[in-house]
Amino acid sequence: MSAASRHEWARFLKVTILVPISALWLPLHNLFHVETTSAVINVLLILTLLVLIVVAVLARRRSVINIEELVTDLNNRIVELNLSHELVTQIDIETRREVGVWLHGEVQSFHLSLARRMRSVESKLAHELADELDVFTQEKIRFFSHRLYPPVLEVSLDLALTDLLEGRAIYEISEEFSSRDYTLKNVRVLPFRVRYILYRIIEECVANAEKKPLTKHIKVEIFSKGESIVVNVTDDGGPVPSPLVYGLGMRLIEDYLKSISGVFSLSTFGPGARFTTQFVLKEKGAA
Amino acid sequence: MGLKNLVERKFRVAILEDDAYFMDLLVDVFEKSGKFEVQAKFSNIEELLQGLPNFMSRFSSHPEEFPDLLCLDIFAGPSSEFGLDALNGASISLYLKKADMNIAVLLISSINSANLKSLFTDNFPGFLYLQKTSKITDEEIIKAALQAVMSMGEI
Repeated sequence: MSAASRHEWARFLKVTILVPISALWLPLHNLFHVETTSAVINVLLILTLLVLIVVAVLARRRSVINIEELVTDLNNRIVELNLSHELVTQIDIETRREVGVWLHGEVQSFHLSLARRMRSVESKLAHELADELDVFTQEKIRFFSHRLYPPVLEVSLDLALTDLLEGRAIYEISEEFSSRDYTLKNVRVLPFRVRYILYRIIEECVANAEKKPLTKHIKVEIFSKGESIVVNVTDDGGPVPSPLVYGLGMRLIEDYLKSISGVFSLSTFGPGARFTTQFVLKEKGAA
Repeated sequence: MGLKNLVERKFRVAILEDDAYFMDLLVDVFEKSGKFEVQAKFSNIEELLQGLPNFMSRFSSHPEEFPDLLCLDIFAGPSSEFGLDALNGASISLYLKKADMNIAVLLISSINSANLKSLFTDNFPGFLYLQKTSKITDEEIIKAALQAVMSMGEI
């Protein structure tokens, strides 16, 4: 007999025989006015009750232990999931960067030199092919590598954001992160993960603000506050919808921020909405 | 060093370029111009990093060994981690400038960004950015290289 069916039998015995007998013994005893002095029956009754109590206590203890084990297991799985999540975010950023830089560097360079070599041949076809290769490089490779990882980010966040926001938003960055204020004595560079995360967050927020039909102005601000970096993206296209439904983009922002221990909030601000994030710059790069 | 002396002698140039064809092209263009001599060639950042300490340690004592111009590709080879940041042609040149190295820099890359060009060209004396295209001419390269070196000589 398996453990499960033994357990079922014990339960059947307890529920159908022991419990009714124990519970009904006294009422039946009184109803039929059965006068019994049988010590054996009373002892049996007491023993049955004691067994039931012990069984109940043990069962409760077992279920408490099971619940505690489940809670511990669940917590471990949550920790594992968070770690995997962070790892996936990290791998995502590093892979994008590696492939983007490779496409922008080695692949594009190779195409450029190939087109140049083709042009050095006295052939109309070779020249036409070189032109085609140039178009493919510019329109496909450059576009795709830029989507993966904007190459200017390798140099500076400020530069990449200037390129991104030109004609789309008012952009203000405080002196300590600005490439315009670089001096030869004081070159500031944020760690590349932070640069990439901020770039992607701002890109997503600005795209969201542009989707709102009433938006006329968008403002992006980056500044430091004590040890923290603060980013505000403000629009004038109406308040934050209620209830707020998180799309894929917002979940992406949440994941990116979590990987640098950052949080964000969305609030109604003036005629529009404001996205704010703040996080401590733990990794002090060659800042 | 006076501008006259600069003009009279050939300028020494060190090149960082990972594409073998472009490296040959740059060497050829610089040598043929009669105005430059190629002093060192690095095909990736790692090689440049190994070579840099030698340059830097002899910077003051043997200026004659020091290149007048660094011609750097921004993305040359696998980017090398340096602390928390990655090194590339642009960051190397900024670090060198930060260390007060009196050296002109010609950054050549396929990145097409007017803001990048203006950042380097407008903010740092001796810096010049040239976008790498398949139609770039020998004259454009030499003109930009001379412009970078001359603007250093004017400091």
